[in-house]
Amino acid sequence: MNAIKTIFIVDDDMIYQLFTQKIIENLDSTIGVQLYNDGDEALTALKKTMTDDAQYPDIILLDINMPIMDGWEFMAEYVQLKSKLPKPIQIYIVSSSIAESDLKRAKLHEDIIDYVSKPIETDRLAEIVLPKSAQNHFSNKEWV
Amino acid sequence: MKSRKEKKTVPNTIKSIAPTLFAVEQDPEPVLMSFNMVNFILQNMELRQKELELENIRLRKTNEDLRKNELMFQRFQRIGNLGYFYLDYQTGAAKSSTSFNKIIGLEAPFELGLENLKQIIHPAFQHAAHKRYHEALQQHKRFSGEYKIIRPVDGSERWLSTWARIEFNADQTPALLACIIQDITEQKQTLQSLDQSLKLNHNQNERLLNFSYIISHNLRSHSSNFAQLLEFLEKTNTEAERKDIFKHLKTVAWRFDDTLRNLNDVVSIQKGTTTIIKPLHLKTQVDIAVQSLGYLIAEKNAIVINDVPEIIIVDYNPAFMENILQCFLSNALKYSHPERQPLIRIDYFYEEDKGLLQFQDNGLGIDLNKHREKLFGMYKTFHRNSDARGIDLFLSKGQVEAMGGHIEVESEVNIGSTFKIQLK
Repeated sequence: MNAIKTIFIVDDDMIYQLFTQKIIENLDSTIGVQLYNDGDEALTALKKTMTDDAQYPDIILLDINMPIMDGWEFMAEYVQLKSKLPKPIQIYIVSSSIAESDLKRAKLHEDIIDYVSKPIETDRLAEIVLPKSAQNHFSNKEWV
Repeated sequence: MKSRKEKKTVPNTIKSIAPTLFAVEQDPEPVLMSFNMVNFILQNMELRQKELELENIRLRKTNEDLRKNELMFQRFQRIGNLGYFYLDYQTGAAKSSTSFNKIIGLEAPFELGLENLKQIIHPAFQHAAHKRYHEALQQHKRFSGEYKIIRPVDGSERWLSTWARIEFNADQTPALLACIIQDITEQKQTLQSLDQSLKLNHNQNERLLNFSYIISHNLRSHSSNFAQLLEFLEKTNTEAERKDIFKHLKTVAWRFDDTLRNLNDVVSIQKGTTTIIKPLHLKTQVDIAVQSLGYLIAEKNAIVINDVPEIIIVDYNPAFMENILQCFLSNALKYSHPERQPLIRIDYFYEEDKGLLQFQDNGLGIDLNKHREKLFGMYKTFHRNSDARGIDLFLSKGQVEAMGGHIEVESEVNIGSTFKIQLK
């Protein structure tokens, strides 16, 4: 059984949203994927789902550069909110930025698990969303 | 006869020296005595005269030394652009050096005194100067400072550096004010032009940084989308999916093209400052921008007031001007408040001899505490508008700054925004 039930994809790039959702659903169709266009939308949804176990995200794939509220601003809000959350969320930065400063900042942030550079590969996504035992099985298989 | 002869010669000699002394001549007997006396007097007079002459030479020499010193002193003051001034508090007597008067630009009837000198200080510095002087009076401190003055002789502005000291009597009342000034206008101007080029460099660096940012982020996001979509395409086996992927590929291609255009716009900013500069009638330029955005104004049912004075002519790059005016006007229209009729006022006025173009609206407003730093950033938007592109303000700011101007913004959420643009 995969412990990951819900994943938030927070990114203003619709095409990226769509195919990442598709890859995840192909890896494990039991995972529910929620799409948000910016940090503010994700934050609002997160506050709403704090009491709802089924919707509460296990993983957030977070872009940096977004309108309204960017990834770093979202993280600042998340840190404020952390103590009230039912359980910590695994947050990954997924960005096309190759700026050294963004990478460093993500590595140093204690609430960010890793920095993943776009385009995100299927194997890398499998590592993130699947339990260890299932990863090899999937990485050798055609993903479609 | 002998005596007669002598009698003759003596008066001649005497006469040549001081004839009034020798009325005694009428009586032959006393003449000889007189002669001795005269001789004695003469000798004494000669001695005295020599003494006087010596004294005169000494005085002349002292005077000359003094004059030489004074000239030397003047020369040093001129070399250092220095001047001095002192004031005796008891008698009210004031004295200043020639170079002091020259620096300050005093006209002949100008009466030296604290009150009159205070009038020369530029209004913006009067408060500070006043404060320093009174602190020095109370705390028995030396004081110094840099001020701008307005010269009475021609109204021109100069920068002064001053050092002063007040000496006090035993009863703690002020006795003497001694003050040295230096004209530092040239240094200030050099510093200002240095500041200017530093600012220009800073702006250019910022644009370069943005440039590298577009490369690293925006171009890369398109290329990674291309890569991912092509991978999908390769592995898909249904026609419906294939069609879907092609649709997305097309979208990515269009966006890619857009980004390249933006990139080109950013690059051409620096070029535009040196190429075409023309005198532009600002009011007409605003009218043209209003006309070209007529569809948006009609759609929003907005009122646009062009209050730019007829007289304003600005030397500017016409393409920049068109872009800047359209950007701020369309910005005000796009982010108008849905609950009231949009009102946009465009104005031009002077603040501290700087001309400012102002756009005032009653729109949505921006939370500047949160967004000030990102307001003019590339691809930053703050409202969920489908037509928010996040490039117009970035480009306009780049153009204004490349021309040597800058932009200030005041805004309040739900009240509206005011952009003040110093064009150059």
